[in-house]
Amino acid sequence: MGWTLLRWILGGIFLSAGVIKAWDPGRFFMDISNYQILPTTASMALAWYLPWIEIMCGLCFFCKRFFMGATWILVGLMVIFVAALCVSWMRGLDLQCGCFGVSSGGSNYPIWLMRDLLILAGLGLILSKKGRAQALA
Amino acid sequence: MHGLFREIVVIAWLALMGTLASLWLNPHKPQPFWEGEVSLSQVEAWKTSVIWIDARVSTEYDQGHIPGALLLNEDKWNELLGPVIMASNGKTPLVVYCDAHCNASLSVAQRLKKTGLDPVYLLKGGWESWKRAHP
Repeated sequence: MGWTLLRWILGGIFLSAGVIKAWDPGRFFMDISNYQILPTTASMALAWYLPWIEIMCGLCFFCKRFFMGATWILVGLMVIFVAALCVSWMRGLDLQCGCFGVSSGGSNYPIWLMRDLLILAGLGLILSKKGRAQALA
Repeated sequence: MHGLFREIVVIAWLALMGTLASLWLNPHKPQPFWEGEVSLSQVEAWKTSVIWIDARVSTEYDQGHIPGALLLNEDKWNELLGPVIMASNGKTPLVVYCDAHCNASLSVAQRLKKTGLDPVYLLKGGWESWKRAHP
């Protein structure tokens, strides 16, 4: 039950994050641009594509199809998110996380990093031998 | 390993299909380029009255803003839009600003345009440029 719950929670997080961002890619584009890492065209492409990756992976978590592929994609994404947050924090950028498409009024790197690391830990648990067996049971 | 790779490709493909559908259907298309960006010296050279729109959060607005500027940000859009609509007359330019390196003004300017307000401009350099010119 615990593993199924973890799978649902993670699926829900990515599904909701993806839907919010896919609904308003213009806003997500601006959040990506604020990180000042990618050129405009790449930010634009990412603003359209990334939410759908999250949606598809979230759905895979619920329906248990392509589950391991979705998990590895999300691990990759989370590692990139954490790296981008660390770089932006070191550069002292005042930005919106862009994680859930909601502006929160100011930067809060410690909270964002803690949240991302928790999600990454959850994905790591699922990738463990026991997690793989239990989450798909 | 081969099966995992196939799963990743299928998900990437499905996401691409979703993206294409979204590109076709979504009303909130990103507009990365803003042609109506003006510098403070340009605005001052207009020699007409201007409606300043402060797109920062209310705490920053309270700490200091361009005299007469109206607060309008996405956090409280519906609540703050009324006074902007009342002030706008279709002729007086609305000039939106935030900090020097932010995109809140772009976002607010785009939404104002969608609301039907015009003409809308962005202040290059934002609040920082005003502070430099009016220490």
